[in-house]
Amino acid sequence: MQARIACAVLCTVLAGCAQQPQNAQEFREAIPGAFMGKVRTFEAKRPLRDVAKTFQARAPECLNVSVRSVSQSSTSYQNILTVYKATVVSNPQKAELHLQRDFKSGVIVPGKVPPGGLYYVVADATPLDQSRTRIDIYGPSVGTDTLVRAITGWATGDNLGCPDMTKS
Amino acid sequence: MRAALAVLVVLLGGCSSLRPYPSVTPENVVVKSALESGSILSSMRGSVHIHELDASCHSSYVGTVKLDRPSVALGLPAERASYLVFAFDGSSFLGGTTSSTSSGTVLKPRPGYRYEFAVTYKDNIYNVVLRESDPRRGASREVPRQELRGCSA
Repeated sequence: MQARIACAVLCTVLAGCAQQPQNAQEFREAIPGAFMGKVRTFEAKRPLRDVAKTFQARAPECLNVSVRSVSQSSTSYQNILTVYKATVVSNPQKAELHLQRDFKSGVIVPGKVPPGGLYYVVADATPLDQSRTRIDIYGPSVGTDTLVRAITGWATGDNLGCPDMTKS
Repeated sequence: MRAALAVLVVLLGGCSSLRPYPSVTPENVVVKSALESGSILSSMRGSVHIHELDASCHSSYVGTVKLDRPSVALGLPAERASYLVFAFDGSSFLGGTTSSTSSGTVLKPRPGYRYEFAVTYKDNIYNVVLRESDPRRGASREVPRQELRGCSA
C-alpha cells in the first residue's frame, strides 16, 4: 500500500512537470510518450454495442467510488482520500470509458486539475467488424493491473466483477 | 492489574460499533460467498452490514453478518426495504496496512420469495449478484443492484 501511495504521489508530481491533460483526447495523446504511461490493445470477440452496454452498466456502479488510503509507520503518516469518477460516452461508431480521480486530501497536485479530477485511465472501444471490437486502454503502466483486468473482463464479457479500487 | 485489563477490554470492545444481525424468521435470504485474498501474505474477510430504511429512505444500522462460511442464511422483513452493504476487508501481514471496499444494494423482499446473493472476491475483483426466486413457481430472475440514492422505500 505504501508503495502504491508513493507511486501515486510520484506520478502526480512528475505529471505536474508538464501541463495536465484537460480532456480525454489530450490524455490519449500524452500517454504514449509519458513516463510510466502505457497503451494496451486487445480484441474482444463481441460486437461494439454489447461492449458499450457493459461499460454503461458496470463503470458507474464499480468505478464511482471513494477510496481512503491510510498508511502509518514510526516516521510517517499518510491519509489520502481519492474520489473516482467514471464517464461512458458511446455512439454507433465508438464507446469510451473515462476514469478520473480527484485527490481530496493528502496529495498536492501541481497544475490545473480538470473538472472531475485528473484523467487516470481512458478505454476506447471501436468496431473491427460486426462481431469483434478493438479495445485500447490508455493509462499508467503500473498500479492499474486490477482496473485493467476489470475493464478487460467487461469488454470480453468474461468477468463482470468490480475492481477493488483500494488495489488500483 | 486485573482492573486495568478489564478497563482495556471494555475500551477495546467499545471501539467497534458492529453488532451481530439478529435472528429474523423466516430466513428468506441466503448469501453464498467465495472470497480469496490472492496472496499468502494477506487475508480477506467479508461481511454484510444490514440497515433498515424508513419511508424517507433514511437508514439505521441493524447488524452485521460475517461471511465466514460458504453459505449464510438470514431473514429480512418482507415488504420493508433494507440496505445491504457487502464489505471486503483486507489486511496484509507485512506493513500492517488494511483496506476496505464495499458494495451496497437496497432490497425489499416480497412475501414468499427467496433471495440468493452470490458474492465473490478473487484476484482483487469482486462481484455481488442477487437472484430472486419464487419457490411456488420455481421461477427465478436476476435482480439489478439498486443504489440507496434511487431508493423508494
